[in-house]
Amino acid sequence: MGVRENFNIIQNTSGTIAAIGLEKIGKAAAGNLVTPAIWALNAATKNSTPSVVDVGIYASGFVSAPAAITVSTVKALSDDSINRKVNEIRLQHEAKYRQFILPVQNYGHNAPFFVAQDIASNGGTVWQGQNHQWVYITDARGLLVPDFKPNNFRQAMQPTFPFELNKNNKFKFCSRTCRW
Amino acid sequence: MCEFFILTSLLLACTGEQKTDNAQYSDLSEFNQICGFFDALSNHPSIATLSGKEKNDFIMERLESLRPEGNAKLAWTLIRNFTPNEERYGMFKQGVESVIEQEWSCSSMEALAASSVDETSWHGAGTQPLTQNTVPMKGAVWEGVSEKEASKE
Repeated sequence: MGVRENFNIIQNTSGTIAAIGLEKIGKAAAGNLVTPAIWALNAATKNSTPSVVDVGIYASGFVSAPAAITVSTVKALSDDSINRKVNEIRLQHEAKYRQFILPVQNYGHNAPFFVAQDIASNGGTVWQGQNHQWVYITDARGLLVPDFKPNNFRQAMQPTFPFELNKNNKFKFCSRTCRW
Repeated sequence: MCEFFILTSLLLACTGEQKTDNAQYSDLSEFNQICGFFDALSNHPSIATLSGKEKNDFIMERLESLRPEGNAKLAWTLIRNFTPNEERYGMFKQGVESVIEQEWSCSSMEALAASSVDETSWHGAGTQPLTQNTVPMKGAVWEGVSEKEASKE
């Protein structure tokens, strides 16, 4: 009796959880197959069939699943490429600095060249490796380092020395004319 | 079924590329608007006598009309901190071209970027301590910082 009264809650919750569970482990297509299984169960136990709305919602799930997979796959490939390039740059520096050399993508979401300028104007040293990846460095406490001297860069930026700050606490920064 | 997924994925990948194109188009449009601000500045009746601060203010007032999260507004806001002034246009142009992935130029900006500077906004060189988010090499810590200590910073 209890099961019958709560049938819809049980089926929707379990169906959703099952679908989410499958999607969490990357089996989004399998997640979509949960719903037809529940329809089959309904047909067997209550002699009911899915409505047009049910089918529409189900179909939209099929469309959104590949979207999620595509987006996450593209992002993973991009992250892999960035990590590989950052590692290449790290290997050109002393071991004690390597883990503190980070991609500018960690700092901001604008175009990398402008994020690099943002870091320099906030007091950090930022440089572009020969592989075109922009990176910056912090110390172990996460503080930007304005006078680090990077190796083997295409272009670099850092605050001018002596340091100059404007009223918004932004540093005057340089590139070609810095004391590299 | 497999073909359906491949086709859908390709379609969505194209949609993602379209979004990138749209973002590039929005950025290009706003970079061109900034160029237009410099065109207007170059046609200002008192351009010969305007101070660096007045020219800077002229551009900054108009910059407010751009998207706050866009690359264009950020680009000009940042380039005002770059030195030497004579290389500002080149740096701005480099940034624009890195975003739109094509050649870009603006003759009025090239002529006026170096002189549109508010020098009064800067404190004297070396008279200010570093900000709390920065540390020079001689004070930097490269090891032996626990997460607890790092979180205190």
